[in-house]
Amino acid sequence: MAKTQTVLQTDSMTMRFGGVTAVFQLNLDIREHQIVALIGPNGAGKTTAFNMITGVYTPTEGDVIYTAPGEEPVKITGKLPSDIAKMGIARTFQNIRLFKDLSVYENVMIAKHLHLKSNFLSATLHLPWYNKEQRQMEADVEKLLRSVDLWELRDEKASSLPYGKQRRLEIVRALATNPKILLLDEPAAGMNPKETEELTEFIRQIRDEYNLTIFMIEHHMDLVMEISDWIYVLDFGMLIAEGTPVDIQNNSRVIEAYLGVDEDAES
Amino acid sequence: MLPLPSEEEGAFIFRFPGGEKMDFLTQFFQVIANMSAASLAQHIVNGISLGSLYALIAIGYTMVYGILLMINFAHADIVMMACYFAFFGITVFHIPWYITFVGVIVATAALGVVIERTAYRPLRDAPKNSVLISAIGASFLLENLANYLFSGRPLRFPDIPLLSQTITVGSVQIQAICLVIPVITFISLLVLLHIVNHTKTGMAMRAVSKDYEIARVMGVNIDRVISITFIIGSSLAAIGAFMWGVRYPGITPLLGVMPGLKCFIAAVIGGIGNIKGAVIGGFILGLGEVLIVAFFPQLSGYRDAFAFIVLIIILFYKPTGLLGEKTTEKV
Amino acid sequence: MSKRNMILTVVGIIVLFAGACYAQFELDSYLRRIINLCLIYAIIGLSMNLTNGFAGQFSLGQAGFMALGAYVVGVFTVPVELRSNVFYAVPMNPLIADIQLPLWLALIFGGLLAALVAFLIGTPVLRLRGDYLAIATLGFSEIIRIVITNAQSFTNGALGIKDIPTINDVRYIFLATAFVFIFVTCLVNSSYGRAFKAIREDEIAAEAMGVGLFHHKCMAFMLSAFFAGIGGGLYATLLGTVDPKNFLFTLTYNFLLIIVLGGMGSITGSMLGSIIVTAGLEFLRVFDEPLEIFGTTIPLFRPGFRMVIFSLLLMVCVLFWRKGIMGTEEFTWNKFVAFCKNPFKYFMRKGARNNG
Repeated sequence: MAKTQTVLQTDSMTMRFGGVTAVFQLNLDIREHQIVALIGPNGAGKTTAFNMITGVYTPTEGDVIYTAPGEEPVKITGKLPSDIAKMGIARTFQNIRLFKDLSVYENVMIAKHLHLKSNFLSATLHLPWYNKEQRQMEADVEKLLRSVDLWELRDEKASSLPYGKQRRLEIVRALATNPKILLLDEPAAGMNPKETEELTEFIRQIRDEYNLTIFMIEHHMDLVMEISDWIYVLDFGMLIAEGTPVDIQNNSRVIEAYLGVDEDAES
Repeated sequence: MLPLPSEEEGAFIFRFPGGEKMDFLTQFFQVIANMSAASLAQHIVNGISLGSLYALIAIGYTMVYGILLMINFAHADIVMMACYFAFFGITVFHIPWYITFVGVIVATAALGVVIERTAYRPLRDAPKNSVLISAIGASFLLENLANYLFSGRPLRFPDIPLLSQTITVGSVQIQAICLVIPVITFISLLVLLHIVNHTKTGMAMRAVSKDYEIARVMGVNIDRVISITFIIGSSLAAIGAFMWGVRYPGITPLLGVMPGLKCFIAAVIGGIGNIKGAVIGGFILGLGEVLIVAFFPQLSGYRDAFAFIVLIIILFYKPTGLLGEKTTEKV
Repeated sequence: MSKRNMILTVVGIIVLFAGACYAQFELDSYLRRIINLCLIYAIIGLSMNLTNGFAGQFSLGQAGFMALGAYVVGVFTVPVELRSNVFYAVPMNPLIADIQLPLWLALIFGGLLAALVAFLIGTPVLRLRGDYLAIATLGFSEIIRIVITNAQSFTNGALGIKDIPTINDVRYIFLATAFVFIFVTCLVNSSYGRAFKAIREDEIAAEAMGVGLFHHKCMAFMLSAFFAGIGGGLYATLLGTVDPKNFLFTLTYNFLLIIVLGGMGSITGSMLGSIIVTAGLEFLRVFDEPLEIFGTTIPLFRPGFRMVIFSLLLMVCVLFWRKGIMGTEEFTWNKFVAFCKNPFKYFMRKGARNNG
């Protein structure tokens, strides 16, 4: 594998909540165009790591460094989530956080707002330059929704969609922010094997089509092993292993950590 | 309106800061020069008794917020109703004041529970804003009911000679009630802390305020815990109201509003959800308010603004309050 | 918006304006006053809906922002020669004593002042998650009133300001109301309106999608204050006098009732709610008078009963009918046309959609 540029890096990232250390000195190095997985038993601190990277939590110690392709590295530790999103880091949530009462269309349109240059006055008065931006946004959203077969459902309330479509909508919404790196928090949760297969294809597709780097938390091992270029394993907040899927599958510490907790064995 | 000197007193002249800065400072030095140890002691006693009243009422706010994560807007109006209950007990029905005192506590506690059952319980699973609106509605309803039933004319809280007599300590003249209030507050606080920390009910209350869902799953009777919380909060409010009435005898339907706001701010200052914090917050606001007016009499019209300035400062520097703990939302 | 809808909207406004003209020339001044009050309350109700309904930020400060707007109008539109008569206790502050502004300018300044104060209040409070905004705005509404009461040389303190040139012209107020409603409708339908709704639905998700929370909350808050200030200014011209006691926080509760009744998150709802509440406030006045049936006076009806009924209405609404009349939906020409074509089918479809 040729040496690729680092997009996202965490440097001894630590999170303490009062007396509990949720994540301890986590070092991640995520390369451009890779699909990287973060796995580990429940409660290992994976979503906490995501939250630190996206700015929801400010790390107690350590740093998060983001390098947009073609630009200089920037320390994004402690920045606001909205600023981090503007820089090109988008995410989905473990428990699906769609805008429930809004339509499918509105959900994705909102994700286009962050790149709007017109101020509220121009927007309200529908001045020409705002209208131009609006039309561009509408075109982008239509393309995105059509690509996942959600265009016909665009006026439905997001909460009325079946579970699988909601997950797809959330991913598409994150894509609408034009990210460079996409963080997916358990995208395959609750899916059957066929749906998981479709999702695997979908993730590969969007990675290629939108030139993305993908960083995901997942429990479905077939998806992880099939698609990942690199895997990080977390247990009790600490990194216990990293490597290619083959390395991880044969790593005894990983097997130990997962004993009895492998969700894949149950489903 | 409140008998406190917010709007009725003189000194309305607005001093334009730039042109009369010297005057402001000279006034301040004059006040200091003229203040004797006796009058300073008087002010401090006043401040402590006001602070105690605020503390008693603030506890009700902080307990309800700690468990239900809502601002009980109606709490202030419960104080107001308690004053009216006392008025009716003593002045209209001529029941001896010590018996009325107990009766008022019971009636107010009952009122608190009724409000919880009708206005808050049905909305427990509703979005947060709904329960807030309901609280406002309950507050509004109580104020309008009082206005309708008792008319808007200020009534005079019954005089209780034992408490309103003036006692002379050294060269200082104090109303007896000013000494009683901190004592009663202190005793109430001790009893409350004992309940919370050393009884099974108190443990249930602490569990519910730490994690509502887990407590429910573990078998804690949530409804009972919430009712008890309201009973305690309302009883303390009744005690506070009674003493408030002796100290500031004018009763009107809107009597509770400004003190209610300040008491919630006191709870926020001390750390919302924390009982000791509410007490500390109450004293900070009470003492602060009295002393500011004592040292800067020309600001007396703005005395109510003091609480909000402290609120802004706390929100800027320590939003979780002095004794509060940082809670992180699970994402 | 399709061409047909645009034409319908323009026609609709012209029709309503014609109605306003009719009201101005044919109805007596009592009814005209009520219509004006209803329109003004609709503006302020809509301003409250902007923060509370659309952005999901619970603010209780409308009375205070109204007061700011009302006082700017009061202070600057009273003709200079009459001022010494009004400010008889303490003379008006020389800085402003000779400045007289035309109404439209005073209205805008009132709105801007309210927006500025909203910014000052919002900066510390809007950055925090929690219910602090409600308490802070409620408190500041009272503080604004206290400052107004004390700043006697600027505002005449507790004496209030009289001799404000009045405008009882339904057409003028209708145009102002139409302007505000059209502006807010355009805002809500723009990308910024969607951003507000996103914040209301899920702050954390909105932030993750790049919507700056503080920036947008502050924007909604300031706009809300701006329109409340304009509403307050119009209110001052309607009454002809302003008095700190007009702007007690309890006034805010009226607007809360309007938006809860009409539907938090519906522009149409704000108008409907205002019509019901204003009309109700007026025509329920009869409840405040002793009622005699067959020669016996029913003790239930005396002063204050009307407001008891209103507070009960607010409680009933929030307990049993949280969505209000419109919920978060609006009147649209598409729906209206569908209704006109086949009323029965319209309701059947609506029922199916709600149950699906």
